[in-house]
Order: sequence, then C-alpha cells, then structure tokens
Amino acid sequence: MSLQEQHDRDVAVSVGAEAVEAALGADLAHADDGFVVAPLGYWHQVWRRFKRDKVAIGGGITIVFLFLLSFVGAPIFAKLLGHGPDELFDGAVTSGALPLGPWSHFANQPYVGAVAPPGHPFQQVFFPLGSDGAQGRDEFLRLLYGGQASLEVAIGAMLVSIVIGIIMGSIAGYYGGFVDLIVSRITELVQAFPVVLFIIALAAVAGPQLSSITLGFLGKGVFTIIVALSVFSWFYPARIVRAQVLSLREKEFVEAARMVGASDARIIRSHLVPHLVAPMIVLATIVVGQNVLAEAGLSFLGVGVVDPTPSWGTLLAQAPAYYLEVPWLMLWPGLAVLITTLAFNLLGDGLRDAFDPRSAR
Amino acid sequence: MRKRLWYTAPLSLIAVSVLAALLAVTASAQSSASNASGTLNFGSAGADVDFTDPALAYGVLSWQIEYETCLQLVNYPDKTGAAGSQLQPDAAAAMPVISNGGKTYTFTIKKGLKFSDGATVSPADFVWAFNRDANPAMQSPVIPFITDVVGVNDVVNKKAKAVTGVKADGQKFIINLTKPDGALLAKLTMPFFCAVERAKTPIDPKGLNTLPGAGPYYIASRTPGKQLVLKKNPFYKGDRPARSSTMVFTMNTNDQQTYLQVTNGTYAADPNGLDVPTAAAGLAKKYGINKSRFWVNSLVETDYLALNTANKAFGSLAARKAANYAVDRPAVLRARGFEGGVRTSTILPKALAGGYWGQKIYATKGADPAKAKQLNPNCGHVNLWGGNTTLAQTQEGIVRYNLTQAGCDVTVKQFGGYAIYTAAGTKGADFDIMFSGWNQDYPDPIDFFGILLDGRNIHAQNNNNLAYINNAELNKKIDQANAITGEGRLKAFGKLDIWTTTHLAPWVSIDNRNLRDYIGPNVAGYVFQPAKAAMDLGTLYLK
Repeated sequence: MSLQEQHDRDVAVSVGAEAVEAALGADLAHADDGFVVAPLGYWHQVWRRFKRDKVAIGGGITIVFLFLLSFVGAPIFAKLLGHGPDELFDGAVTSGALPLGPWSHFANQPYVGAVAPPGHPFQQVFFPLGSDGAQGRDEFLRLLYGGQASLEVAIGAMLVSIVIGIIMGSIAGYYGGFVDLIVSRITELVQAFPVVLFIIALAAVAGPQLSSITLGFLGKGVFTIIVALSVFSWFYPARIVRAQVLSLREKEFVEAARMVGASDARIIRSHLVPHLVAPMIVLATIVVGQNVLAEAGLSFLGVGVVDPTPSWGTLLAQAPAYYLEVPWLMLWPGLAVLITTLAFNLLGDGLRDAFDPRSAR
Repeated sequence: MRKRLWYTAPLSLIAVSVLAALLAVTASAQSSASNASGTLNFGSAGADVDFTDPALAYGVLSWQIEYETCLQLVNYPDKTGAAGSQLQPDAAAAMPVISNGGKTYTFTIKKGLKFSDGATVSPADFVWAFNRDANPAMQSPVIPFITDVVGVNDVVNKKAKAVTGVKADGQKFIINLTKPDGALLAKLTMPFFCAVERAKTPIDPKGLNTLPGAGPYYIASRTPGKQLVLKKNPFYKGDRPARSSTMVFTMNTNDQQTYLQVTNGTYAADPNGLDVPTAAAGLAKKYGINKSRFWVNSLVETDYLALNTANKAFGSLAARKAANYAVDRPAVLRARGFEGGVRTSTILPKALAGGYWGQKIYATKGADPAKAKQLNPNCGHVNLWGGNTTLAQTQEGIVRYNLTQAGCDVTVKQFGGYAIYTAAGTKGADFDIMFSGWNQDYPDPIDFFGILLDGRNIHAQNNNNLAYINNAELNKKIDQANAITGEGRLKAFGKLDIWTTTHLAPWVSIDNRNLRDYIGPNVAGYVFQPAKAAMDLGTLYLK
C-alpha cells in the first residue's frame, strides 16, 4: 500500500468512503487485505455527479410522470370517466355558449331540455376540469391526450433533428475542405430561414395532405409539425458536432483506426459518434423543451395539430375565445407547457453539469 | 363717483349676464355640432368589404356602406320595424308608372340631385349603372337578377354593347322588361342599380375603390384590408340622415379586441354585429335587450350546410336525408351564443315562408345518428368546408363529430373571408358539404329559390347554387311559384320549401340568425334597418 493510499484510507475512515470515492472518482472496495481501489467508469462518474443534483432529478421525475400521465394515465382516466377526449356533450355548454367550469357533473341528455324516461335517468357525466369550449368536450381528458401529441412532436422533432445534425456535422467536421464548406453553407441557410413563415405557407399549401399522414399512431397534424420543426432545427446539433469532430479527428485513436484500415464510415460511426453522446443528450433535453413551446406556438397560430386531435397548443389556441368568462381554460395547458419546458430545461442543466463538471464552475 | 356707480353696477350685471348667455349658446351650439358632425370609428372584426364598387359589392358590410353612399331610384327608409320595409321613392320624384302590362317602368328623376364631386345626377347615370352591371368584363353578380331586362342577355353574351331595355328621356328613366317582374322594385333597391357618374366610373373588372357618391355619404378613401373612410356628401340635399361627418372603418380587427374597444368607447360598434358569441348573455343581462347598448333583431336569413349533389358523398337523396338527421342543430346554433337565432330544418326564413315555417321535417332538437346510419350505412369520406374564425371552427368541430358519429370519415378544410365562396362557387369544387348562409337581397322568396336552388343558373364560376342541384321538377315548381303574385306568393313558396326539403334535401338548414349589435357608451341613434338586415350607419351619432 502506498503512502497515498494509506492517506486515502485514513481519510475514508474519518470522513466517510462516499466522499473519498467522489473525490477520487474510484470505488473503494473491501478486500481481505484492506481497501482495493477500482477506477470508476465515465458513465458511473456522470451518474454520481448527476444524482447529487436534486433539482435535475426532480426535473427527470417530472418528465417521467408527465409521460406516464399522458400515455398511460390518459386511457385509464378515459375508461374511468366513461367517455373519450373527442366526445361532444350538449350538457357541457351553457345556453350562452360558455363551457362548464371545473368539477362539473351533468346529465348526458340527447338534447337540451330532453326529459328522461321514468326509471331511466340520463347517465351522469363528470368533467374534472370542466369543458373545453362551445363544443363541450372534457378539458381534463383533452389535456392528458394533448400531452401525447405535444410530447410526440417534441420528442419526434428532437430525434430527427439530432440524427440529421449528427450526420451533417460529422461529415462536415471529418472531411473538412470543400465538403465542410458546402455543409456549413447549407447549415447557415437553414439557420437563417424564416421557419414560422415557411410552416404557415406549408400548412396552407399542403396542410391537409401532410395532416393525413399519421403513420398509424400519430394524431392528425403531428407528422407535419415533426417534419417542419426537425427540418429547420438540425443546424444547431450540426454545428456542435462539427466543432467536436474537427477536434476529435486529429486524436491518436482516430489516427490508429485509420492505420489499421478502418473505413471513414466506420471511424465516424464507431470512434467519433460515441464521443458525441454526452453533448447530444444535453442538447436533446433543451431541444425537447423548445419543441414543446414551438408546438404550442404553431398550434396557437392555427398551423399545428389538427382538431379534434388535442394538443396543449390547440387547447391554448381555443382558450382566448373565453378569456373574459372562463380564464382558467388558458391556465391548464399553459401550466402543462410551463412544467414540461421547465422540467426538460432543469434536466438538461443537470446533465450538462454531470457530463462536464467544469461547466458548472 | 358715487353718482356714476349706481348705474355702473346694474350695467355690469347685464354685461355679465349677456356674456354668460352667449357662452351658454356657444357651448350648446358646439355640443350639438359634435352630435351632428363627429367622427364615428368602427372596428370590423375579421372582415373587410368585398368591394366598394356598386357593380361588384355583394356582402352585408359592403351593402351597409353602399346604403349610405348610393342614390337609388327607390329605397327603404332609415327606419326600423315595418316602416323600414316600405319602399319609397329616393332619386325618383314618385313611385314609377308601370305600363305595358307590367313590362315598362317609367321613373321621373328629381332635379337638383348631385354627386359628392358636384356633378348633377341625371337619368343617364342610372342607364350607365345598368350598362356597367351587364358589361361582361365587370363579371357583376347582379346578372341573375336582371335577365328579364330587355337587352341584358345580349350584352352579357357580347352581342350588344348597351342594354336596349333601359333608356333616359329628359328627366325620365325607363326600364323595359321581357316579362312582368313583380319583384323589380325590390330588386332596384340593391346597390347594383344606384346612380354612377359615367366620367368617374369606367369599366374596371377589379372594381373601383373610391367613386363619387350621390347618397348622404361618399367613399373618401379605401385601403383594402385595412381602412375605409366615409365622408358626408356636401351636395346631398335629401332627407336621409347623416348624423356624423365622417365614418372611419378599421378592417380585419381582432374580434375580442374589437369587443373590448366598443366597450370602452374607442369604437362606436362593429358594423358586422357582435362577433364574440360568449359575450351576448352578459350584455343582455347588463344592458337589457333593445334598450340601450345591446340590440337583437331577427334577420331574414338562413344558415345552412350545402350538400354538394354533384359529388358522390351526397349525390343520393338518402345520403342527404341522413346528413339532415346526423347534424345536431341546437349544438351548432348554440355556438352562436345567447340569442344567436332560431333553429330550422327548412329553407325559407319565417318572414318569407307564408306560414309554413317551423315544420320539423328533420330532427331539430338534436342529432339522430342511428337514423342517419340507417339511411346511409356507407357514408364514406366527406370533405367539409368552412370558415376559419373561432365560431366557424367550433361549428365545424360539431358537424365533423356528428358526421363521424353517423359513420362518415370527415376532412375539414378552412377558408378565410370570402375565399370559400370563390372556391365553392366554381363548378366541380371538391367539397361534399359546406357551411353557408344566405341573407335576403330583397324581401322575396325568389331571392332564395331563384338564386340558390334553380339549376338553370349554374355556371362555370361564381355560383350561388352551392348544392349544385339542377332538378327539372324543382325548376318547374320555382317558375310556377314565381308566377304567383299577391298573398298567395309566399304560401306557394312556403309549400315549395316543404316539398324541396322533403323530396330533395339539398341543404341541412341549421338556423335563422339574429343580428346582435353592441354599440359604444358614447353612441346613440341606433336603428336596425330590416330590409338591409343591418344597423343603419347614417343614424348613429356621438352623444
């Protein structure tokens, strides 16, 4: 045992093994003849740093909760409440075309003023958050199902943009020269493109055609927004990847791979891309938050998810019509967007600090 | 000194009194001047006029503007109720002399009438209005109304350059018809026939934005999509009201914002009526109905879903009847808010149905999807066209849900403004069912049946027959009903309405709408002009 190890053992005994493990970035395991130092892996260190960030953990838990609520909870609540998110109820709208308020119970009558046959009262319907507007749909269920569309857009657009970004950035950074020049100019073109105007034009020209593409599981209009957002948001990951690859391609391990005859594609795939995972994970969490906001914004402008598919954006878009009489209609989807965006940003911050502790200083 | 003071004090008192009286009179004069000559600001939520050119204007808001700027041969007075529906001479000195078995109308035009640029109004200006309307380059929507005027068809078909059936003879203006038309005088109240100054109104297919007016006001300026300004015609000597000197219309405003700005007095009103359905109940509670600021009046109007009989989805009578059972009329109407209208399943509004209004041919209390499915078990894909306002989207959502419940697969396409009518009015348009509404051009049922359901009027473009129904039996019955005059006329059309709805079902009639107007706190003089189906802008003034 070296003097240093002896010192570490003494410290471990006095201040606790956890702290030393953290300080050394190593596991102190008991052996027959005392402590054995096993070096910690990269991901183990990241996880250790990350789990110390309670705020980021909270963000992660919130995201898991939102996913569970939207994708698992929504159908369960629909079953419990006995109706779907798109069902219209005459009794859920007042004669003044106003939606019912939160915690409303009403009779499911076929038309206003209908009299139930003796002994067969109309089924009672319960809307926990009231109705969504003059169509008389359940705001609570639409909020839950809306989470599906909003998160599908956010995650889908993020995945596509990151994949495109990694491909474009890797090619530009690895090959350099003319290829870099071309890819970089395309990147700048995309960066400078007026995205919102383009999406509004796209929705006007090909909206119905694109909206009908659901791939069997997406809501109407979700695919359109995923395509539109991802096509115009890959430039940021591409620039980050390019910068990383420009540095990595000069490293010895890349040189070694070349010497043993590895192809360019293999070098990029097997040696460079793994080094990009950390920044891409951090970027992904931030992009997801931005995409949730973008979906809400585009749907608010009427070029997003198509009714009756609910999304937080479409719920927000409908709410202003009632803002004087039923202002809380803006509150529910607004809170959902706020909480989701905040959770993803906090998670992203925590991951960034965990992957690169220097950035926290 | 003392001697002089005894009369100085009373003199001073008199002088002060005279001064005070003068000030009071001046203040009063200023007050009444502001009443009679202020500027009224209007916010037109989500809408602009289609045209300001009287040969082309064909929207409710456009006709409100034209009503203020046009000098008609005969017109409806600026009064509400029954009095507002009584025709009276306007540019004509008296009602026309009808001769030649009802085929010749002779008007004597008043002397001394002037356009806003000072030019004198003459019978030739009415002749030019007809020639301009009929000119094929103008593509005026008036043509279906005047095919019975001698020579119109020749001009439309480019066989002649002038309408031979209209002529000026001194102060007389004469119209010759190919056959008697009992509705001609009512038709002449439409802005298409108002006096237009030939030198200032060339043939222009795009329509003129500004032109001299011979009515109480003239169009001083127009920036399409943004603003329109009316100013008092300085040469107008008639008895129609013009209680504000200027009217400024800001177009395409936001509906909620406009509502708030009317509430706080920034705008006098939205000339299109209250555009925030959810506010109606609160306004009625706060101000009462037809008392001070919130006004509700029935329109001679029908909101309906046109079923495109030329396309497969609703090509069969069974499918069209199924749609009539599928749609939840109360829900669609309820979206209009408190006092939005009354539901119906027939074509004609109550005032034109000759006692046949209110027959519940289809389910008017709610949807009956089971019956719809029974009638049309294989509905298939349906293209639903509608507007893009908040209200339109709500109504589209309800109808889409109703049709889906009845087994249809519905795709919704939304349009802004008048674009839907341009698209749907083109023969072969790819819609199966579309939201539409028809407000009377003039109070006669032929304005519904002749324009909207007579298949002989279907052309390549600009069609109003949005059901594209061309049924020989219906066309024959329209002719038969149209030949009847007097009290039997409305009854004949009422019967035809029931027959058409039952045997052809070209529409899913939803409701007969009410116009709800909301005016600012500093505005008075509200009058609902029933024949024009809108608030009378000329009677409004600032308090």
